[in-house]
Amino acid sequence: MRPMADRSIFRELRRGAVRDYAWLAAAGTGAVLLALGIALGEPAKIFEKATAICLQCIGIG
Amino acid sequence: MSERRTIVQALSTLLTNGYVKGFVTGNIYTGPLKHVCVPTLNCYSCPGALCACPVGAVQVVLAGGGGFDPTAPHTIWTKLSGILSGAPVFVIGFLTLIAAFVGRASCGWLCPFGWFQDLVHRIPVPFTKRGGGPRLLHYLKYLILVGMVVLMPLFVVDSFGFSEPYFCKLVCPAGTLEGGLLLPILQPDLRGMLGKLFAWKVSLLVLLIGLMTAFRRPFCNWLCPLGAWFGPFNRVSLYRLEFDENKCVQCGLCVKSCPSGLDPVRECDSADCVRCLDCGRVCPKQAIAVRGPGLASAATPHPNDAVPPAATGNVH
Repeated sequence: MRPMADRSIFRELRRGAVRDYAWLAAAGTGAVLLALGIALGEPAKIFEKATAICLQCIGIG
Repeated sequence: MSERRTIVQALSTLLTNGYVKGFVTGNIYTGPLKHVCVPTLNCYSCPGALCACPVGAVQVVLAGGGGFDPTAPHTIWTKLSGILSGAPVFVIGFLTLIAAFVGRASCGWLCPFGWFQDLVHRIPVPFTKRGGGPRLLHYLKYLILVGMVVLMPLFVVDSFGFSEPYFCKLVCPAGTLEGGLLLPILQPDLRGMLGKLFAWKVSLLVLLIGLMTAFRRPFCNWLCPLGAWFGPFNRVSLYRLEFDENKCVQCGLCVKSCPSGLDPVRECDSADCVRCLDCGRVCPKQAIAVRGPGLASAATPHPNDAVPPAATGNVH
């Protein structure tokens, strides 16, 4: 059984490592979702809506 | 407010709204750039907008029903399967990718409406200017993100299974400013269609402008769903702020400079921080620094390495 001080150091290190590499997980997830969205044709859906005046957006409707 | 950031904000506003012809004719841009989003709140119904707004895009994808079959019985299961096949993964992926690298920096450096708030806050007023406002209001933006941007377009539907972009319709002041006020001026036909909704949106914009003079970035801090998405990534993004308590002389200059009204010493990775880096720039000891690959030390250091004479009070 490790002493209490050791355990808290390990906990801190683990927390630091999670914080240091969480961006990588987020970036990877983002890239996968981005590619999936392109494959599913989502930009075309956005294009269709964004090229017509959104009446709700401007306060009509 | 740093001059360099002001220049970047101005350039970003010009670039994202660079369709000059739209401001003359009143017709919006319909070219291929509208397939993609900007990482800021910029209404795609603005006559000059070149790209789509991510918040609007999330709502229209969800509101469009996705793979939801309107003829099928309206059960939770049919709705959920519709959500899965019609989820706005492209926009979420794009926003997550940006946030993974720089957290909420696009709010501080690129967002046209953020810049607008910074400018309005500089207007001199006869009362004392305040910081970021009541802490409880800062949680409102998460409710708006979940409630108005995700749940309402999904579940408040008409008989055909289609919905509306409720945040754009009921709240978004950027849409009112960039599209709602400009388009009826440029297109006389639209003026006859203005009614109670328009009056509500203009009133909300006027109220927010009033609040902007007193508080720092009230829309970003309290209401912006895009900031609510980016904010939590501040803690883990590749480039993030770090505070060195050994260097701090507690001069309080960082608190005075923060456009979000935060105390950077205690909240340097707060979800409300827009990563403007003004705190690091004004810090005489470089106690607040951007950490990340390729960066040896802090944000741009203050020209004088001594504590300015005006900064002797201890505010912490």
